Amino acid sequence: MYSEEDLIYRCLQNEGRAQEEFYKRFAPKMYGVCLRFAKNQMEADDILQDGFIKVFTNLKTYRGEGSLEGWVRRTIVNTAINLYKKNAKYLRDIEIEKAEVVQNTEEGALDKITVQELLALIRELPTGYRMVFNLNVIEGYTHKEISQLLNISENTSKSQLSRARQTLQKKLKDIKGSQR
Amino acid sequence: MSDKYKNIDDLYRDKFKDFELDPPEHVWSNIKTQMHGPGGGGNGSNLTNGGIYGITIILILSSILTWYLLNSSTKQNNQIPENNITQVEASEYKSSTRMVSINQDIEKEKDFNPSSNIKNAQLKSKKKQKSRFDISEPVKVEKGKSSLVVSDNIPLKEPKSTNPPSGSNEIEYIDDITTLGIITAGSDEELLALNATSQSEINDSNSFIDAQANPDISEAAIEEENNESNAIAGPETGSSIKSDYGHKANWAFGLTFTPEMIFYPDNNDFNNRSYALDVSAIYKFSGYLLQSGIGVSWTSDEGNYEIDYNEYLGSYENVYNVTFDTTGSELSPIYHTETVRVYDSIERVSIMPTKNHYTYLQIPLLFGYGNENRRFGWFVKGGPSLSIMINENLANNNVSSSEDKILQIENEIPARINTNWQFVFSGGVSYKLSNHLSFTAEPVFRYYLNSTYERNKLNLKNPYSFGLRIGFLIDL
Repeated sequence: MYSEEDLIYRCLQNEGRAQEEFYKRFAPKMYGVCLRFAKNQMEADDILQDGFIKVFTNLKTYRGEGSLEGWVRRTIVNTAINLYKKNAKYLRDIEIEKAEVVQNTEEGALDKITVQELLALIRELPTGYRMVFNLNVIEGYTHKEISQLLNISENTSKSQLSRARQTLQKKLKDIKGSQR
Repeated sequence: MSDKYKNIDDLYRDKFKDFELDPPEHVWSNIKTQMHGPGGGGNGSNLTNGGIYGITIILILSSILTWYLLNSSTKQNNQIPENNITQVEASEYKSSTRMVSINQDIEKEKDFNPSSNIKNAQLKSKKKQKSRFDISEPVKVEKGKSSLVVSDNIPLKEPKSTNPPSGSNEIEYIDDITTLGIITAGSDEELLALNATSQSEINDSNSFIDAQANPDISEAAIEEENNESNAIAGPETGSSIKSDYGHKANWAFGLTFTPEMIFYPDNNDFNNRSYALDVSAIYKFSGYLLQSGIGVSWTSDEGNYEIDYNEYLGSYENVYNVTFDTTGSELSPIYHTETVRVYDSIERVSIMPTKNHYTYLQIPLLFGYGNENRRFGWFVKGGPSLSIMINENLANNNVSSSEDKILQIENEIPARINTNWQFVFSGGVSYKLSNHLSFTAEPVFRYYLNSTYERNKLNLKNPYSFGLRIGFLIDL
């Protein structure tokens, strides 16, 4: 079990064992991130794989400012964004048609809902909605940052987030209805 | 929403805050493979296992081929004296006499045992007989001219001692010119008949026959024979004799420059150029050629750096301690300060175009065929070539202000792999500038057996390239 500093040093020396430990240390949490951004498990696997290769390739740029986990997470998120941008031109038109606007929300107990169920709901979102929702709500990016990252306007980011929320609320309502 | 979760955002944040899930096993396997190649653990060296294996294979193949070619060449040289026909132009002896030396074997026997010598002599006699009947070409003797024939059948003087000093050279100089068979106006048939009928009578343990029309020349010839242990007398050497029997094998060395255009079939954005400078060694034999060498090629990739940073806004002096100076009459405070830099809390993204440069070591092993006609020559060749990355010069990124705090740099230039194999096919022409120097121009097609980029994201089809190899060849 290496210390974080030692682990980084050994990974920079391209030591296979250290890289494996690095991977095992961060992969479970990052896989959770990937599953949120991906539309299915196969895509999540790809994001995780590509993301960790970038992590190992660019580890020399990590300056120790901020936590290592945060840095790895940003790399994984950026990988997901790049994949989205690569496929964006094929997805955008479809997403608008799929968008549903739900005005009313129903309050109720959501404590019992599982992560897997929430994950399934996120995956059902159109890709653009999913990206904006993940980046803004969970990763904490501002609309301005999201607009720069995804090459969209701030208003688009805001409207997509709003629609994502509405869609999720509707789906949650359906789940609650079926549970009664 | 429940009391715990005021809105859907809180619900998702809370539920995913510590969400972890073990990824499938194959993900790490794929990462490991892409980082280090199949089955590999990294060691920090650019020379991967593939590179080491490649170099080893090429060296072994080169060694085997070179050994085989040189060995067969040596065998050819050794077989030539078996024919035992050498013509020596009589003009070398300042006369019109043509000397023909047949079956002159120089043998250095240290142990001179008469009984064993008889057996040895019989064996040698049989050997010689056999070799004589293998004569493929008749002895050429110009009719009407004086000819000097030297043959084993010519009686020699008896050795004065049956036990000559050990290690003594058993060359028997024939003093008496009358012991030589001198045939004037002889014919080929006469020479052969004379030769054939005398085989059974060969009875010498140290038979050595030489012509002595001119004692000086004869001694020189004998000396040469001693040195080479070959029964070849006369001014022609073994290699020149060999050249009479086929193409001459020789070496050539080349210095060439090759600009190339590399094409990616499914994504033109990755098309790029490379420039190579290489030295090569070429072994030519019977029209075929075997080429290897070493070269250095340079290429580059263009891409972007995506830089996340916090903008530098300015600084202020922070007082972290105050002390008081009591040495004077008045109490004066001393403020201890430090400069605190202030950054914008909003993260910014900057896209910077950049260019990375790569240097590869190239080791080809090519086999081909060619021909030369006076000044012009042509050739075709093909074979594998190994490229090993020996240096990568990754461009630095520049943010708008060097004082900004860089959070993360995303390099959008795809990473290159360290080792790749190609199949090279080329055909070209050469032009002799002088006896030993040629100019060569050679269009080259190169097919990459694997992509030059890591296949993690860029699953591109294998690239290919066209180039023009130009340079000079030095024939040895």
